Amino acid sequence: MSGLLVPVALRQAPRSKYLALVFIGAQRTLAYPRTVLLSLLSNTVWLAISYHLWSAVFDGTSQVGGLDWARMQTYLLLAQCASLLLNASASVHRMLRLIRTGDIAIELLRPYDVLTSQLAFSAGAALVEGVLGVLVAAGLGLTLLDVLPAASPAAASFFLVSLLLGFLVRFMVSLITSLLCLWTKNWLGLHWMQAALLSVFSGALVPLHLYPGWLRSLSLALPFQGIIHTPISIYLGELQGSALLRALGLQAFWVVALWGLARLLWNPGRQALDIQGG
Amino acid sequence: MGRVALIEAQQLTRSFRIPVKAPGFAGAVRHLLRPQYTERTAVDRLDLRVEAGESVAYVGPNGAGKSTTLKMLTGILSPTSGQVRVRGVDPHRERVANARSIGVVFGQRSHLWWDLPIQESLRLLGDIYEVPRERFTRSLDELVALLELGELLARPARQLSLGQRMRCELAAALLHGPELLYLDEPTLGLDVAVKERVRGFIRHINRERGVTVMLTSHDLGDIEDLCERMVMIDGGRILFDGPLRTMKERFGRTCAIHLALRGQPPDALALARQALPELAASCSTQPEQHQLVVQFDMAQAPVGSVVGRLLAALPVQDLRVQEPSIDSILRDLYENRLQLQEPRR
Repeated sequence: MSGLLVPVALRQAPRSKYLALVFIGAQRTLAYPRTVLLSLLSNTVWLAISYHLWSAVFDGTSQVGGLDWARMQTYLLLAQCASLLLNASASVHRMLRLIRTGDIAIELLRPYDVLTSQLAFSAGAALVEGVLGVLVAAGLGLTLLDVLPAASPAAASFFLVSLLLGFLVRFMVSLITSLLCLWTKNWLGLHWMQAALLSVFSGALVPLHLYPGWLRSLSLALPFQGIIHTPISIYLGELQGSALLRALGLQAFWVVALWGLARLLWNPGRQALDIQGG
Repeated sequence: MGRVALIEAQQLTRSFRIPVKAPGFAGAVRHLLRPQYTERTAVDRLDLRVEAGESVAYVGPNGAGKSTTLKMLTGILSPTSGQVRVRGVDPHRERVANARSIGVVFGQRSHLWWDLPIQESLRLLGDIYEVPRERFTRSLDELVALLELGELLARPARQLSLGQRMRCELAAALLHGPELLYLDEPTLGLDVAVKERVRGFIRHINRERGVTVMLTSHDLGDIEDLCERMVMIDGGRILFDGPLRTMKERFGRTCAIHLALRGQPPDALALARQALPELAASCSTQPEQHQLVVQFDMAQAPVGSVVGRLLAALPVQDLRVQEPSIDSILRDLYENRLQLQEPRR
């Protein structure tokens, strides 16, 4: 019996609890390869559909809303891959599921900060799906589509930073939505509302470039643009110098503000929690 | 074994808001426009004190408030009013500090990650509870030996039977060496052999390791095997709190005498009723077993006198006296709960 124990004991290297959760998030995502493949597949299908849709729009014109066809293709591909990272099922649904099923009780029994632990777990899951997303992007981009390289090496690295911040904004939005369910007890409506806000205002559905002025201004005033629009604009070189720094700063501001809001909601939310029976 | 209070609850109360909706679509619309709620008090001004090393059975019918109490003691739910301290700590406000010193097993929820091998789950729990490496190894070795987990470690939780999973849950709850173990229906759905094993383990950690155990269960075997003290609750109020023995003495007054008769006399029932005029209504026959049963309240007549009169009046071949068990006591109490309950204010 002790022979079996040795590997566990040996691998018990000291590990921070939140880092451990990042690993678990990644490991659990890998435990369901079919789920990951399916979301890859559906993203690819969606990409193919929007590619054909937009190629029809660009048939006969060279520019739509300041985007030419090559930039549009680049936009579509990046948006699809980013949304793979951003919609990593674990990060979007975990807290919601915990609250809905009452399994939040188990989380509350553990000596960690529940919100931070959610973040750690989601980061692990998103990392796995994100890496896959990048692989798909590279594969499709290099073979099928006419994708532009990043505007500059600097743009490429700022793009990654911005993507990371985008992930955090995305996480905070779904965290706050989930926390609101502690009061409403109705998760479906909130979830749909969140999905609608995200697809309209993040640039996932239609690039914000193409919106009429007022809608565009509105989008830029909301946190959602930081999820897809900002990283891709950086990649394409539309944001440079001080504008780029301002955009990153704005993303960071939203991350901090939304995290603060989630924390503000958490304690009263815990009071509002009722798990009856079982 | 010190007389230190581990758990102290005073006037602990928790109520839930229940929406009141008239039936049908019209009712739903009316609720939307003018929502109405009632309060349901799940736990009502509960006073409880548990000392270090005790093993307490917390019992009551479904919906009595057992789980809600446990959720307040473990810091999951906040009390509506009153207060609770566990090792001097407010479990809801100081949730993390409280979480470090307790272990919890829920029969219906799992601490293990469904799709990870058990050893990964245990290791992660070791990380979460920041158990130093040496202590982790020692603790794990011990738990694996006691619960015979050796072969289960490499398998994911989803592949385990309920009994195997429950053994792993116990290990998961105790890995960090808590002083206090809460068990919510730990043997629910287990077969007899596994139940016995789980009970043996819980007894061991209570008696040998001095871990304080508080257990809710509908399983009377659990209660009789594991606990010296019983707290009974219904309607959110404590109905009884004291040693299991006292419980039996105070409420266990129903005695059943089973008689097997020689020659199956057809008038046996009449004879018995004649011999026991004051218990006439308590006598019955079980024809398929040729048995006569007298079930009575021991306050009404002493057992010795009843047995003597029955032996004199009937051709008794065999006689069995069934003393009250916790089982029958609880059944009686659950069924006639209103008689015991103090009037509600």
